[in-house]
Amino acid sequence: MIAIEQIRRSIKKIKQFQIIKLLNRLKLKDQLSLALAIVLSFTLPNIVMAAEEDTPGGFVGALDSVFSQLVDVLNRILFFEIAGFPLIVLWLICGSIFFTLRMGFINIRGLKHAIDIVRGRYDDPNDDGEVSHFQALATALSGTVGLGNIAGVAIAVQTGGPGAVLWMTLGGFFGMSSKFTECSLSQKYRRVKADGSVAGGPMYYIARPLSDKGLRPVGKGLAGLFAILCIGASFGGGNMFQSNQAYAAVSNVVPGIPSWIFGIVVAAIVGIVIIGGLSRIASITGSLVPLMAVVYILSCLWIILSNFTEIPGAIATIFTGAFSPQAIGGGFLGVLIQGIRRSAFSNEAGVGSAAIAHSAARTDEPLREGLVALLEPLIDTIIICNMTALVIVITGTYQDSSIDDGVLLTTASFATVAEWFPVILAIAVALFAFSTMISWSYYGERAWEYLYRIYEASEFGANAYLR
Amino acid sequence: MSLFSKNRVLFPTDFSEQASAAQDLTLEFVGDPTHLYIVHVLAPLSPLEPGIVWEGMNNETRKHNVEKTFRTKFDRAEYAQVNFDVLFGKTSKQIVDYAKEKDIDLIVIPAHGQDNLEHFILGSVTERVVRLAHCPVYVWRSL
Repeated sequence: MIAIEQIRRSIKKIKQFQIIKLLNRLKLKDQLSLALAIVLSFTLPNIVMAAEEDTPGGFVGALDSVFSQLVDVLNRILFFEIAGFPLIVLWLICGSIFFTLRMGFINIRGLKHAIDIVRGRYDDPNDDGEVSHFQALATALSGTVGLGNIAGVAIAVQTGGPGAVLWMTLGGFFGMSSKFTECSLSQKYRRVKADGSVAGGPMYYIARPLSDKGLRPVGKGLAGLFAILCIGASFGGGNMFQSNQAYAAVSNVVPGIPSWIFGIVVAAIVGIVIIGGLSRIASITGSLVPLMAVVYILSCLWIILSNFTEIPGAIATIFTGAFSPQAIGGGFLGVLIQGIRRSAFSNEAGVGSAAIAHSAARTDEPLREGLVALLEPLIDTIIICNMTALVIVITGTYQDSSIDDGVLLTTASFATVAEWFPVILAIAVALFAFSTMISWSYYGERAWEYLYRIYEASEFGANAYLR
Repeated sequence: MSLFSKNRVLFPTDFSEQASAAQDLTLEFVGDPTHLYIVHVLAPLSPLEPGIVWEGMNNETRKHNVEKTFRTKFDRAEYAQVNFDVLFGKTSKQIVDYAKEKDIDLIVIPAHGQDNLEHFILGSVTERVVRLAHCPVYVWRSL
């Protein structure tokens, strides 16, 4: 409420003093500082209030409550509800359905062509770009295939019931068209530098077309907003959630590791790659991810097939749960929302992040990379997420309320087959988490670079765009 | 003795349109293309850049691309004799060090920028070159 009151007051002030004219004269750097000040004025009252509250647990407790307050403010804005639907969920689903219809079901029509492109049939080494279609897809998949596929699905089933799986799958299906659209745009509006390196992503495909239409300030503002939120996501979903859930899975098979040691080790390894410049580690994980995904799928299939008599029942549970849900998660709408939220969290369709990776592909045909990108929700959500979901539903572990949330539920499902089976899961989780952290660090870095063009050495020179 | 020596003139370019316009005028001013030194400074790429991770790019290929860019963008006969180099590292330091190494008499540097941010940042490179160079620096103002 305080924040809303503040906005109201500042709008009044702007009107009174015609600050807008002044604002336009400010240098962009000052505009950025001003934007930061506005954001802080939103959050500071909450942070201060949080600090005044009783915070057991000393520094960590205080830190925790500061972040909770921050998240709460964002939560109120982004999950603002319209007819029971959080704005962001409604936005994502309407967008993906619109793109699917507008592109005439490109997510089905384009499949065969997409696979041909990934196989390298259209690769031309003379085209602009840094990597092949397959490599761009693998980079983006490293970012999307993560704990969202293993822990996120478990959360969906726990809070929304098995029915959420169907909506999650549909979310992935329509999400393929969103992904196609955003990655095609990302290719079309990317910038190629003199040295052949590429800069692309929502920052560019928001700013450039709007600027062409004479809406340069709007474009710059929205692109900047995306960059700020992308940096936030690279910390939260891209890193914190990953290491948090990876710890849960690993400590389950190797008990007795203190959480802080695990955290420091993970931070150190990620640091070695992104600060220390050991890109070799990133390339090894990048090529291990597809292999590990196959291992994960095979493990899931093993569990599913060893309970094959349960398969029809599980599918029936998912379908009946989707339309006539039990009381869990706030009825039909609750199930629907859970499914779509988890789908978007896992495959990032409509989020814009993967478009950053796809812009690096070597091609002169933007739609080609768009088609490659639509395979991502297919692999990530329709295949991998469904594997996790089937395992959880078939083994029936989701009904056991004594199991903690997230990855531990998946672990419990794996343990029903053999005692050592969760070890495979823990290895997969650790690898997926690590590769997701690397990919998201890259997205965050790119967003940061857009905001500040801060690479000291590239101030003059490498920042000029050729095309 | 004249104010500006034309013997060894250094022109750092970022391939922007403004820089290219200034470059043509610099060549005209110098006269003999063999007396003109044009450089482009590249920053190290992020270790997370897909081209680096998948080993599709390295400093060799980047240098090659920049040289190709230069030769195709400026294909006029005079430019064939111009000395062109690609440097790696911190822009202002590379320009200043190169000038010293090649015994440059004059640095012509474009200080331009389409938006305020670029203007601000490019300005700081120019400023450092002006401050640290051993020779006169001509700052080209195109706005």
